[in-house]
Amino acid sequence: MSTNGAARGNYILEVEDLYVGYYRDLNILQGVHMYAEKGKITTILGANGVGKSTLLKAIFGFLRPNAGDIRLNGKSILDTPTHKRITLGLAYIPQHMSIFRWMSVEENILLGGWTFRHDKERLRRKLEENFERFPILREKRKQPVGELSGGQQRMVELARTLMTDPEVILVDEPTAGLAKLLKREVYQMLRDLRDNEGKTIVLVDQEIRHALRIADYVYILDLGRNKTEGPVEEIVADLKKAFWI
Amino acid sequence: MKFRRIYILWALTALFLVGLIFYPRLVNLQPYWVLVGMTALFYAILASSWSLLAGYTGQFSFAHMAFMGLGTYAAGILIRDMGFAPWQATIGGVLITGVVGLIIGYLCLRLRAVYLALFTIAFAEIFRLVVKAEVKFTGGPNGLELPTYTFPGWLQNLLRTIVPFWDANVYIPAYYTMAFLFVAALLFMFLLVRSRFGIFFRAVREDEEAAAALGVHVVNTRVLAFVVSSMIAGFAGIVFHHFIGLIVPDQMQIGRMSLIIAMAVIGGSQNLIGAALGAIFIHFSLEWLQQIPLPTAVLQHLLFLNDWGFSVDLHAGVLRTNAWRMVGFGLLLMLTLRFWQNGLISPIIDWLARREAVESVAQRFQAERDMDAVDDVQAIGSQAEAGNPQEPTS
Amino acid sequence: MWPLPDVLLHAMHFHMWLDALFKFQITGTYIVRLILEGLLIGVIYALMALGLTLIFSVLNIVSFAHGEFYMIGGYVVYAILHHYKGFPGLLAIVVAALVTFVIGAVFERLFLQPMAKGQVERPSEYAILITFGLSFFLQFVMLGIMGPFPKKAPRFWSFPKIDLGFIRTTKTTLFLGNIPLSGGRIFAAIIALLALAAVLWFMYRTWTGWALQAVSQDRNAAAVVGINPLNMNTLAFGMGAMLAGLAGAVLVTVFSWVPWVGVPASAKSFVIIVLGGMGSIPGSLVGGLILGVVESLGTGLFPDPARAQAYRDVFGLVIFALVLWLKPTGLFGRKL
Ligand SMILES: Nc1ncnc2c1ncn2[C@@H]1O[C@H](COP(=O)(O)OP(=O)(O)OP(=O)(O)O)[C@@H](O)[C@H]1O
Ligand SMILES: [Mg+2]
Repeated sequence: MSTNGAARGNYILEVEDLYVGYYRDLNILQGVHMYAEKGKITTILGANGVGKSTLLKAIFGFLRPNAGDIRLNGKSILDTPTHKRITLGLAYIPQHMSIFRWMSVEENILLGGWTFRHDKERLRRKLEENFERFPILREKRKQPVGELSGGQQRMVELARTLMTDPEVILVDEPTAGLAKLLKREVYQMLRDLRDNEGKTIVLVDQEIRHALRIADYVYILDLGRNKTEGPVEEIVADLKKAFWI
Repeated sequence: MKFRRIYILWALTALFLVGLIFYPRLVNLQPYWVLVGMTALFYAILASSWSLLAGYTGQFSFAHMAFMGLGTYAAGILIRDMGFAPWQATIGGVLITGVVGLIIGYLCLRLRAVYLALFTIAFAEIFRLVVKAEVKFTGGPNGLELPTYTFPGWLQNLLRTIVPFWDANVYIPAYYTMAFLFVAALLFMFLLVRSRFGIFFRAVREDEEAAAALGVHVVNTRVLAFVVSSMIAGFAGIVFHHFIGLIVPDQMQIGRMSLIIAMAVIGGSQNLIGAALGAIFIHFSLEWLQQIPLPTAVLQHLLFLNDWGFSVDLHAGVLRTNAWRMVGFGLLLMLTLRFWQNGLISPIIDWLARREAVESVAQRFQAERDMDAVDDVQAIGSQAEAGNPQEPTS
Repeated sequence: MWPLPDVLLHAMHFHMWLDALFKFQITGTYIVRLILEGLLIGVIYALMALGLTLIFSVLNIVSFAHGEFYMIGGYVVYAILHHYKGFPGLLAIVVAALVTFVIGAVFERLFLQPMAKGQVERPSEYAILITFGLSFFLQFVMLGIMGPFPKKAPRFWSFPKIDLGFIRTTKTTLFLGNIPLSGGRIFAAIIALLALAAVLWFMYRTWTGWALQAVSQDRNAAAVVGINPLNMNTLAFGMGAMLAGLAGAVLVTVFSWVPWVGVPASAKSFVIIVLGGMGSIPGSLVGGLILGVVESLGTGLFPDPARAQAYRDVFGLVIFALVLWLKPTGLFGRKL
């Protein structure tokens, strides 16, 4: 099994030797690397609390790395402020529901287009696209998002994220707390985004089964460090060997 | 013998105490300067009792001056209307302050810190307005007169023999009483923060939930700090105004309160002594600045204020010059908060008090405690892995 | 027997109030008049409290310098009208709004932004003290500039002559039937209503308003969609200061102005935001009206007119204490 992803080809997002934490001298991640290939789903797995979410927060700029580099399309984005990273084609769906719960569904989705808010035509088009993708949201467009169910709130979040046509989407446990049927739908959605629209997706998940089914390349973290990595077939084979499945 | 920084601290403390005792002599017993010294000590008590609440529990009372006035008015009314002797009224006034503090404390301290600040600022201002309006009851804007204390004969004689210039002017007994109260109040607060309660204060400030989990009653702890701090303010106010002979409602203005806070913060509100020294320093520098003519006219000219025709009210000149001095202190307060959150004086005290030799021991102790904590966490972790029977299994 | 304090006497002789009612000293018309006056001033209270609410919901702090922006707003109008005779009053009010906005925004950049960036220890304590420090600073700056004597801006408008029978006007007064209402207050309330409408429109109908709401509901999510939360902080603080400044600007022709006029005004806004529920926009509007009416009724029905004005603020304090005691989340409080 290859241990260094750098040997592979066309990376759109590269994380190298990352040290990052919540307090000044306590690094949660200690030298983590991660490379995401264009148009593929890269999945990050690991036990609770190993720092998967921390990695995504660092990529999106909510945490400032103490060392290491994060590159998008070959250019370091460390100096780009968080709120500007969306303009680079990066999008992020955090682990905890991040919606504007007292605002209506429509306003929530429109806010996804904040960066091109003066382009009325594009806003209208993207909104329409999203309503076609999630018809239920069209029905509830005037309702405050806080009143929707968990699954529908996730849809709002996803719809909001898709407003900007991001190249790379960071997704953190998108199906936590959702019903089984909805879970399958969400994973199908991610798969469609890759297959039909060529998006690059970095997926952090606890749902190992589902996540592996749609993944292309897998990283496994262990307490702030890389443990193993490899193309999904290798990882699945290894897991089967390990657990005699 | 090896030189240690703490010796400097001891020497400075001794010097300060000597200065405190001989201050009236140092200013040649001039009544004005003795009064200034006494007032400085009064403010020092107020600032350090305010920082007992602010610096140790993280709660902010803007009614400290109001409590000072409340105690004083209560004492004055007890004397005037109910025939109390001054010393009885002093105790009564302090107790009344405590009761009001208790009520306000229980009302606000169950909630986030900002509620106490919000309520006390409203309470302070409205209390002052009511006192001002209740002319028959409080004397209104003209104030309420208080009789001075009379010492019992034997004490008077004793003090006369110790302090030869005891009768030189009326402010000398006042000064020494205030100095005594200052030392006593600081000692009391110092012992309080060193006691179990002091640890509770800090624990509640640092992490409310953790403190509650350890069995500290969060609300009661805060209320205790608030009541003690308010009662000290009331006590200082009563004693001070008995010697002054009069209290006016404007003594409780929010501007005065701001000045007390500026004193505590600039001195360092995390440290009782720092706050007290800050008060003494600021009060004396205000007095000293009073002696220096501020080029107000030039300032007004530079700010184009004369062009606007505002400098016509000549009588306001003095007040206005003082205002610009206060502006300086306001600015200093904001800059201190922004750039030196521990104040300007208390870091020096802390530096002097830090003992080099003991430091490493303390560090080792800390390190060991950290190791213990890690062990604890691991123990808890393994328990959790073994399965918690109370947890519902799905 | 010990003579009872007057305060207690008032409480005991509550029946005096009832007597007064029955002797028809207090008539229905009088009560209606008090309620109307309360609503007029309540609109302005609401405007001020809305500013504080805006600041609280976006920055999650309470500004203890709110009253000082009110004070400065009033002084700006006074200074302009005093210096340039014949300057249009409405324009002076706009200038006051701009000045307070700029002071607020600059203060936010210099002293509050480090807090939002995590450069300050114990941010919640810092926020209380630094805004209080600002109020100290501004009070004495204005005392230095304007001096301690009360100022009052000249009236710069007059009613058109109307006589519709029930509604009549003189130059300075509006009569509803036989209820006279001070024109100054009506004028102030109208401007305040316009300002309220403008702010609400801005908050709910413009992109920037949505962005403010977004930041107040979820800072991180706002950054995810590309909103700069730091800019929204500055905008919210500036706007909050501006609303207080507007309230002062419209009232300077009604009340006389001293550098510490903002202190009771602050206290009133605090009562309102706690009554309405911290961070609730409808709460601050309703709370403002309630406080205005309660104060007006309490003052108007106070047995001793000589002291009634001084007790005006006491009613607010009583409301404050009751809310803290019975329902600390306020009327429209949402769990934060
Ligand atoms: N806001 C925070 N402040 C301080 N420490 C944090 C914070 N968030 C997470 N941590 C710590 O960082 C470590 C990694 O957390 P992280 O959220 O990245 O884990 P995770 O791999 O996403 O776990 P999970 O599967 O539970 O989401 C944990 O030990 C956690 O205690
Ligand atoms: Mg996580």
